[in-house]
Amino acid sequence: MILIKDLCKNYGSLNVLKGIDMEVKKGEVVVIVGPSGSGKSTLLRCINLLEHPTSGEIYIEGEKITRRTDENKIRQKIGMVFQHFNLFSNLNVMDNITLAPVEVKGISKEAAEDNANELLKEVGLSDRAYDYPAKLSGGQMQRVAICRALAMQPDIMLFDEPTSALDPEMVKDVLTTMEGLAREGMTMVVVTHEMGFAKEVGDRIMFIDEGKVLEESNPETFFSNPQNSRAKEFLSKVIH
Amino acid sequence: MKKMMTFLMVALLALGTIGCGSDKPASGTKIGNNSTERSNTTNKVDEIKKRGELVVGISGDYPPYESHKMTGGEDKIVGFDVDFAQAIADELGVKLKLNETSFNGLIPMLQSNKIDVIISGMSASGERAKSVDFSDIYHSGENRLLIRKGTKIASVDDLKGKKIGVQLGTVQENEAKKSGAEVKSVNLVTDAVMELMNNKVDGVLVDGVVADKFTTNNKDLAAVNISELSDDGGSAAAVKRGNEDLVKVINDVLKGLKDSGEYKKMANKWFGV
Amino acid sequence: MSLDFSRVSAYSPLLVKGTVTTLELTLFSVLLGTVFGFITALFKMSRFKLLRALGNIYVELIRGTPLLVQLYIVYYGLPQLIGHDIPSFPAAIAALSFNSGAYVAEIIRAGIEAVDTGQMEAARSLGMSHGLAMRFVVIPQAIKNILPALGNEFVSLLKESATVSVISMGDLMRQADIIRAATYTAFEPLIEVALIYFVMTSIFSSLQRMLERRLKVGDTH
Repeated sequence: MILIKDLCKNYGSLNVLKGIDMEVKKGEVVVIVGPSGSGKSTLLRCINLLEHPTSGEIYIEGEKITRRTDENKIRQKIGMVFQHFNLFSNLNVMDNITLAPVEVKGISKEAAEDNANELLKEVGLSDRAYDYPAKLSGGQMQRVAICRALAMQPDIMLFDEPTSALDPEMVKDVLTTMEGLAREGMTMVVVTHEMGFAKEVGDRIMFIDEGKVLEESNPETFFSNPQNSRAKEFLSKVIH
Repeated sequence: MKKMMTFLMVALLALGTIGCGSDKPASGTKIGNNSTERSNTTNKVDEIKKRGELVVGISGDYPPYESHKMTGGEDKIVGFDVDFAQAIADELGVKLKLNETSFNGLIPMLQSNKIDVIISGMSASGERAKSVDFSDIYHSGENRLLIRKGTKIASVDDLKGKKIGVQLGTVQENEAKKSGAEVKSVNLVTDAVMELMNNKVDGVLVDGVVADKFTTNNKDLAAVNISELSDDGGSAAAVKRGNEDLVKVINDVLKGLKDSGEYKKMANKWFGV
Repeated sequence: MSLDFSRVSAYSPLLVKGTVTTLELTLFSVLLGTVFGFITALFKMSRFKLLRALGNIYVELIRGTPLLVQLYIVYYGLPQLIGHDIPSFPAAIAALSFNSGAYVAEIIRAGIEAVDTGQMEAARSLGMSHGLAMRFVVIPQAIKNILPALGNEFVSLLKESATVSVISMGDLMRQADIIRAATYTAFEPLIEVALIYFVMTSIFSSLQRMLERRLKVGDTH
């Protein structure tokens, strides 16, 4: 589904990604962990071309997506959920979800709204369909954000620290939603500090530090027997 | 780079407007609402007659030369200059049209043909004569110094260390500088008088007939003559450089008014106290 | 200081005339200025270097020269260039709106840049083009930022419109000077005029607040 070869990203003289290789199969849930500043977010944002790689190649479903002119089209197939939700504050929940399908895909408003209602039902927010984001809690906003991304029927979902900005009591609901998605077979790449989620839902864990993949294994191996010294160090700090 | 480009654009614009300037005689470009041709030096009067209208630039904030008066709910500009302008229009056999603007706007308007002549209590100063042509002086008197009643100022020596208010760009402004006092220039005579009433200046040097109107209308003011500062330059009508035919008409009208006694009547009406 | 408004009451029609003129000038110029400003803001954010340069030069030129000079150029200079006279009112509106446009462009640019970049990113991540994102997400939010600053621009313009007295436009400030000269009064006309300016700005501020409130429908307080 996703194939990344030797991805490098520089900002001026600052090398953030130093040659990342990565492969994600259809239906896999890959969890990326690592210290702050390691380049995890940057990697994620390269996948949907919010950032442009300095060098290296990215393939989505066999198609090379780097150095293309129709980026918008590519992004239709890749959904993203942000740490700070980024709901459109000038639109209510329903419009947030239906805006892209209607304006980008040309779907009729009715069809888009029907679909939106389905999605909202899944996350238990049907009664909030006409509220504005300002009236929602963080957890609710993030679940709406997930619905909004799903409304475009993407093949891949990217999550950039989706629960880091939430109060603890709301984290669970969002993780539950994400878990549901994974069980339905969505291909997901998740950057997170939630080790519980990584252990339970992840198919594979990638540990990234200073722009390089230092360790990559299945959750059992990673959490009980990490090989890389920095991975060990990181885990000891993160798991209390 | 940006500043350089801006500078070039400003320079271009300025050159463009100056370059297409009005000093080219027979370029034939049409300006003016009635498709009159750009004035040559000798046919301004013909142009006015053809148009049927004499357009006079005036700044209605300077009584008794000109000011607004509400009569029966209707606003009219009245004053010595208006009567004088009317006499000139009558002589040319055309209608009088007053184009009212603030004083500083008058000369630019004259030079871009938006008006035919300025009759607005304007002194025929040497500075102005560099850009416009003046008629004979139609009124001259002496400058007077307005003071708060009770102030002890009677001669130029009393002005040492004091402040004098004047209207910006006037002959009185230059005269006041001779006194050795500090000179404060403001936009209108009325502003200068406000400064006087608020003790921000000690005297206001103005045209004598203007001063007299102020003392008549304000019990707290008095006026004194200071001989060293009395030159008021004399008021004259201003026309665009080269419109000698119009100047001649104006001078003839003035002479006629004086000969017939009309002038004396007008002067008494407006300048008499 | 004793005030005697009876001396100036007969001249009230002049105040009405001046108020109408000032209002007309300001309203037309703000409306036109907003259009100029919007176009310029688009130019300045365009991908094309030429458009960006044009926009920048326009803003720099206007902000670097006095309004009076711009007024003179439009009223005296322009007719010479095009060979056809431009009467006072259109000249005043042209100069004022052209002037306002440059400042409005900056207001718009600042308003747009104040919108969180996450909004644009979210829109792009859904497959929306830059244009769609601007139209449906960024600009509607930018308008909330822009409106207060635009209101300030209106008030500035209201006061700056007094400059037009040099090109035969009898605005409110000019009428005050005329009345002062005609009646030999010092303060009464100025107080009346100050009141009128104040009423105009107050009415406008209220309208602006109403508009802002309607736009804030979705926000918490």
